Amino acid sequence: MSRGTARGTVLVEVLVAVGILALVLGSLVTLHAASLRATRSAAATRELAAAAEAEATLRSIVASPGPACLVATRWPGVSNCQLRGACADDACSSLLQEITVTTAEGGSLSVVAAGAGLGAANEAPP
Amino acid sequence: MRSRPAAGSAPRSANGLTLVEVLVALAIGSIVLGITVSLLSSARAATAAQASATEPSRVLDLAAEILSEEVGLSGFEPWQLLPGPTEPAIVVAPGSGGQALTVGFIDDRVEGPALDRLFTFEAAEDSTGRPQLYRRSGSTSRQPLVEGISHLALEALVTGAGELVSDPPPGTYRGVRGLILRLQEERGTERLAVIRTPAAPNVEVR
Repeated sequence: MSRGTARGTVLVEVLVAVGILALVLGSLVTLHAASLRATRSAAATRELAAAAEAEATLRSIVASPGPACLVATRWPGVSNCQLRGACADDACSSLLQEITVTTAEGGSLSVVAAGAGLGAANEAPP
Repeated sequence: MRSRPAAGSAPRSANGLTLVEVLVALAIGSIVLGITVSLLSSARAATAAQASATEPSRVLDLAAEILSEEVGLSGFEPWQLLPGPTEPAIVVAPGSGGQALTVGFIDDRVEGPALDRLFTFEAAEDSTGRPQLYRRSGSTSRQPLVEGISHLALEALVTGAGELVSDPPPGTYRGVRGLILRLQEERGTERLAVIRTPAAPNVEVR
């Protein structure tokens, strides 16, 4: 092997090593960013779940909860709360209510709970 | 006639690395090390910021869970033979960090005879000035439950008739179905805790 070829090989090896290092560092940065995003997303989901659960609990003990959410929108991460009533069976012997809470970023979570119906609206929110 | 190679003109492989090669290697190593250190420090800063952002929620969740379990038992008595908990089962009075909740119930969760419990929950500062959620049982010393809770107050209650009363004025409320407590963490983050009280206790707000 000539000296030129040997020097060329050394340069290629150095470049390959630097490239591999750059790839490893880039992967670490990407992984860390993805981990932070996942943590934020999990925290937002937990907020939504807590808000929806609190709303369902409160609506199950208030006599006439009305058509508007009572507490869910007071959670810091919740920007919107919607309610939808439905019959549990054909005879409508028991009522269900679907509570959908939404974040400002567009994430949403729905829970279905037993409810007293959404027709009466004679209660003012707290 | 072949002449001997002069001293210092041996093949490169025998001479090792040149000064330029060593300098270049050192420069590349320094750059890689600098990038790694800066990435690690920024990752640590981001992780610390993330932990700082999620810590209030974690503290408030824990406090809300503990209060839901204990306050939710207020007025509970497992057998009618027992005299029942102290009446009213919940007393809300002004406290150091908002309001103090005194909760009475018969506790049959522990092994042995059932106990007449009377717990007082309140937010207060410890000896170092750090706010804590405390539980006090009768005349015994207070027990710290959750560190970082600076405020506890009754936000609303649901009366026996199912009426939602916000900021309930002083008085006695009979057969209360549930409470809404407002918790605040020392950094200002707030959380509501909706607590169902299946035993429908009487609540006195002072």
